[in-house]
Amino acid sequence: MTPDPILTLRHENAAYAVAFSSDGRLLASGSLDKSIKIWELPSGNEKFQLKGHGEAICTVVFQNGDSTLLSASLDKTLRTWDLASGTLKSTMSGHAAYLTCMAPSPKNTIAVSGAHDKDLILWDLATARQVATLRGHSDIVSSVAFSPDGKFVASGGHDFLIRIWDIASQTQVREIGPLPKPIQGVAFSPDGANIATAEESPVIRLWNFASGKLERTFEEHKGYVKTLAFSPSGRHLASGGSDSVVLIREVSSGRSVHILQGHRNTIYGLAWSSDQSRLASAAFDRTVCVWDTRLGS
Amino acid sequence: MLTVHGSRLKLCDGVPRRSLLKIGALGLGGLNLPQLLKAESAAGVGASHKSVIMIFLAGGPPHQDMVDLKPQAPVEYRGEFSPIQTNVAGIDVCEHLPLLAQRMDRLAVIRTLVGSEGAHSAFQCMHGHPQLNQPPGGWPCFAAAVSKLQGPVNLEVPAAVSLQPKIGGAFWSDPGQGGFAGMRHAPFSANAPGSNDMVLTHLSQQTLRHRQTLLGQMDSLRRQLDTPDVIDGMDAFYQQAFEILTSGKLVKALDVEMEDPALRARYGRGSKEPAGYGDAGWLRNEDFLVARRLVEAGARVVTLSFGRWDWHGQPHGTNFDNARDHLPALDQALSALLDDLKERGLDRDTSVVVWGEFGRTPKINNKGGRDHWPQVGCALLAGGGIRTGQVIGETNALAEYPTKRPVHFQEIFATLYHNLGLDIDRATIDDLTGRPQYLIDHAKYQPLPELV
Repeated sequence: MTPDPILTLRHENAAYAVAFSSDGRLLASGSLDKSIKIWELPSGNEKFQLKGHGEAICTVVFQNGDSTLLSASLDKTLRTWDLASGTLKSTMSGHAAYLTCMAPSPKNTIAVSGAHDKDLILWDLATARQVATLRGHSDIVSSVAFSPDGKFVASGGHDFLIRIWDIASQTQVREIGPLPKPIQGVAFSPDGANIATAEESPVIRLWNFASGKLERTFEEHKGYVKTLAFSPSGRHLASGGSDSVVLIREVSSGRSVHILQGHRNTIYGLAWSSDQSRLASAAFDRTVCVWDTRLGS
Repeated sequence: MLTVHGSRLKLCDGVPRRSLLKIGALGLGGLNLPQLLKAESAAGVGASHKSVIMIFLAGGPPHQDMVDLKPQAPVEYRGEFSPIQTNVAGIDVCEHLPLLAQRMDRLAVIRTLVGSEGAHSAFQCMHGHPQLNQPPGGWPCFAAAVSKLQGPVNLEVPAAVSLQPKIGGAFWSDPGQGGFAGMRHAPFSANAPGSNDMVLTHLSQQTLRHRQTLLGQMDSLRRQLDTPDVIDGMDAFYQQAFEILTSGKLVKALDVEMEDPALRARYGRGSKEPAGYGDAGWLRNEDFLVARRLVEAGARVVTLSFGRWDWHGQPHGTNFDNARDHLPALDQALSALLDDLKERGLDRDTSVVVWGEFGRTPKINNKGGRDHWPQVGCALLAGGGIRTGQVIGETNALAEYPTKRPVHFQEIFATLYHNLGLDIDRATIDDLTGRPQYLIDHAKYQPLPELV
């Protein structure tokens, strides 16, 4: 089934990041044009922009009951923004090269970022201070994810490895791989039982987190996969990449239930609404699309 | 919309004299009519108006992903794109250039462009010479040389016009210099800061005439001083500034709002935001339309910068992400330009050249990008009476180097000068020491015999 997007929102340059507010009434998107746009839903009207980052925005996350937005940028900083006033609250800097990925912990108390400097940095979001630097990757860190219980971080790198870090001890406890290609994306299933990984190929791998064993592979994309997102229920896994297509598959069967075609370039970011009725995709074609994921389901 | 207001406006003396001087400082073609007549007569051009539109792809376009695809190469070389047939049997181009593929009979593809300095700079494409070891005064850019030798077609439109916007990367925004041809021949920078001064919103034509007289008196006084040619001719400078301001012809040519909406849609709009990392020009399709309007209005050389083609890979998108972004825009805008020129009967008089500083590395790097590759690049040529529907040159299996018919940058310039009616074996411009300088190294490089 190939529904059209219900909204197509535009940036002046490639869109890298997207997130829904918890109530589904706002959408945030970040772009290579250095702006963060806040959109009203369901209208798709642009509410305002947050400007200040000096480079592309790679991740955006709503926080604190949607009163705050946390953003990460290639400019090596994380920033928090007050959404009521649209003003900058704090800036966190510490990386020595392009910051390419960031994820907050489930309770939004800390965040982890990965960068071209090969490091991961843990941040205390309350104080906006660096907590620890996690070193181990031998090449660019391209993706990070917190486990749902907040105890672990998974990071994927251009060193072909997925590394698992224990947050309490701030040490690497395990690694998965090496995989055949540089890692592009990692995502925990909401129950914490699985990690999905994307590499610079059409292959998506589903790993058992406890055992580290490969459970299954999905190979349906026609280009490399760049981004992954489990639905809040964990039943579905959305993926997007260089073939410009978003696939939503049922994890249990591996069957694709939605093939979302509307983008014209690589998809860099995916986000589900909390009620799972919407999926947003950010792409290099300068657009953010919002899809109705209930169609045909 | 840009507008020059006439005498129907109320007189208001709110503009200081420096505004008019600032217009002059933007750079205007001179009034060297004797030289014009002499050059055109020598070339047998007569009163016809030959022109060139140069499209600069700042950053270095990937030759192997545009017009020299290698589908049999190993995966780390061949990239993500497939070739498609064109309307000329035996010539393939990238799948993201479908419109140009259907116009290949009107294009000549250079697959073996060599002689790049390997530097990120508009200089080589604008001037045709290396930046190092320039003659005294510096090389004039191609447009300035043409302005010097042929002068303007009319008084209202400069011979040389640049549409390069001011951008972060100054090396890419260089519109070309007047060099030893003189500042007055430097391209008029239509999108430079200050170009809005062409709008006479608070000044009547009568007041302007009074000021022109005053400036003329000042210029006469200045002429009594011993000044070199580089800054000589300010009277012509002011004269043309005056003509531009009062006629409105240039302003109208720059105003795409006056164009048929259906035609504008064929070109596409594009964006005025800096492309890519934000340090390069915009990806504004409408510049192609403005270029045609300028040529139609009398410009001899129009240059524009289109996008950012320096695609080293993540985290700023892979080479292929960026190509999927830029190639369709180029495909649409250039196809529309070729059609538009043809429909207006301008195609035989207007040469079009599309190129950048260099090609890109045959092997894809570990960030999905391609790096600088001065060993070989590509160019597209059209119009101006050249023989199209052909490919010149051949590279090896990995698009690393020419195996047949390398084409030097200066051979392209020789061809363009030829199309304009300039004899590169005879035409010279004196440098600041008074030594005549040929336009290119004509002993080594001549117009491409395959094309002319």
